[in-house]
Amino acid sequence: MIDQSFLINLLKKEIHSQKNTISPLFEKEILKLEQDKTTISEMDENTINDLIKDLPISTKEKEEKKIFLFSMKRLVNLTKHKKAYFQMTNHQIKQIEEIINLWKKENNNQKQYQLLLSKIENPSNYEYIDNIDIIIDLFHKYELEDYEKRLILTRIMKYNKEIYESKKEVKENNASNNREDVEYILNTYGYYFDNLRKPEQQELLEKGNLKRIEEVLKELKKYNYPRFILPQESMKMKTILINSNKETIQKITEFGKEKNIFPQDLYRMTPALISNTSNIDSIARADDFKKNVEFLENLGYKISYILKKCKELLLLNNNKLVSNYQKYISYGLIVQTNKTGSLTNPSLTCLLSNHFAEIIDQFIETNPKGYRYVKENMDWMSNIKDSSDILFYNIYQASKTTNPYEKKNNKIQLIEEITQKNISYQGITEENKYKITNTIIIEYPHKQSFEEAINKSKEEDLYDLTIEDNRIEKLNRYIDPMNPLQYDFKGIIISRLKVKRIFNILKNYDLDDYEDSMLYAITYHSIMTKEDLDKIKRLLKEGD
Amino acid sequence: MEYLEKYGIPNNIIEEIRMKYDEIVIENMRIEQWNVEKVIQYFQEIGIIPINEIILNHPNIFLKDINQVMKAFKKYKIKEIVDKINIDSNTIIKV
Repeated sequence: MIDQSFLINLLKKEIHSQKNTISPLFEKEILKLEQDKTTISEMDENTINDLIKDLPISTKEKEEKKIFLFSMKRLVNLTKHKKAYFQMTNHQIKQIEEIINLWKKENNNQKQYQLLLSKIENPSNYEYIDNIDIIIDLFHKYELEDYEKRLILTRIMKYNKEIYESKKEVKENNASNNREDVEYILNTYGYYFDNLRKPEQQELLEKGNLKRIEEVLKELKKYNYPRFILPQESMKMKTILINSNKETIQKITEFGKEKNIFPQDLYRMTPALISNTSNIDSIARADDFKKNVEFLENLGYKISYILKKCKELLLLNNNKLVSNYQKYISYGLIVQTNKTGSLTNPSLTCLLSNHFAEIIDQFIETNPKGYRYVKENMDWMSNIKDSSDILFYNIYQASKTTNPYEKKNNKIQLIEEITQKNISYQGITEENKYKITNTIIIEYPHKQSFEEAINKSKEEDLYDLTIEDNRIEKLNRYIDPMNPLQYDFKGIIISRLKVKRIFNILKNYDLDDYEDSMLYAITYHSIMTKEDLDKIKRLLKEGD
Repeated sequence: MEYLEKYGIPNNIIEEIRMKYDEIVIENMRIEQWNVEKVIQYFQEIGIIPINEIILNHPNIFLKDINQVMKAFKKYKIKEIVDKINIDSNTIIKV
């Protein structure tokens, strides 16, 4: 059946396919052609194919335009070869201009597709779908049947109607709930409005929906959730009454029953009771909660243990949990369990962390024993802020003259002088760590774009190590045979997974074609001197 | 999260937690304010000093049910374990 998901898939397919044709290099070609139509002779066949492929026209029209462009290319080349002057007819010029305009239109549509996709996937943003033109373009492009077009348009009308009803409901709510009405409902369930703290009273009046408040209280009572203790739990009560709803409480509580997760557990995981379709001012994790439980169970972990030790793991955005898990095992670290199949630290902390991959990279790069330290110790994640933590500068500096690691109880540990909190190692502080270690702050021509891409990827949680790219393969000659997780650039150790990860992000944002792209991926957050950097640059150049 | 300031936990610690861990940790600390406060008060009562460090490196401890936390500590001689935690705050993981 064709419904919203069909349109969503169509949009995602469209957005994905456009990635190659909307790159800075491709745009240059189009600009050249616009200024001088005879440069069609210089456009290679792949570029012409790419140009035509994504135009919002039917397959038959695409074929016609392709034939036309190839014939123009041949004609101009033949004329140049004969050293004659080639004069395009007005008709031919108009044809090329039409193709360029269609491409520009599609290029602009790309942004619109992203917006439209975002609207459909986030109905709680209460935005109407009003850009029907681009949907019509999609119809042409994919040559949908009449009934398919009708169904999508009907679905969009229904969607807009739902948004209208929701907006009406919110508007009615925002005309402030009558205090007496809210008091009455709370009283019915044994609560007193005055027992809430004043800020939460206010929010309930402004943002609460009377019908929803009543339904939520009814469901909480039905499933024997613990009662809110007021005024101490005012924040929790307000959050649930405003943001949750009957359907979500039912769905999650029933799901929890099957998994031996009870209302007294769910009560302490408020975001699990809030779904995207109903939340107003809180983080919604109902869907993620379900997926996370199933994901971890399928891997053989005990949910009861995770509930006890680190229930926040079940509330992570599911993409992030899966991505962090993949990252973790890609470093050859086992997500440790004890005999009963329960996750142990530092696995739990790592999976919650925003930075653990970068921290492991830093251990790898600052000393040859760093990776072993990570593998053998349970608590390396604690106390480390991120890859810029002063500990790494201590390890790096210590490695110049001594061994920062020692063997203790059959494991390697960092020497005490390096980890002492109140005494700086060799005078290294936050303010002078670069100076004392001679670390170069590398300037890249495209640094700002790279950094923006990295930040954006964290929000979107991209992680794909299956990158097949000959530029990465060229670095294979530097893989350390003793540890395939690192490159050895003639004595300079660089984390291999870091390079793949960062380069993949740049590639995803079409930033991989610049001269400094690979260098950025290699030296990202690395502690190194100018001489080290020059060496890497030299080696990269030799490899070209 | 202003409520933490009255326990001597400054804003920059909260910002560090926000940077270090997924947003759900801070969100839960916001919603479960009462629970977090009870755990802090308990730690202060038994004499734990590096509460800032513990909340930064192990924030999920403050989101555990207070009864669960107290039960875990009662397995040890309180003074001994608190002394160990005051020397090395990571000891708290073992509790």
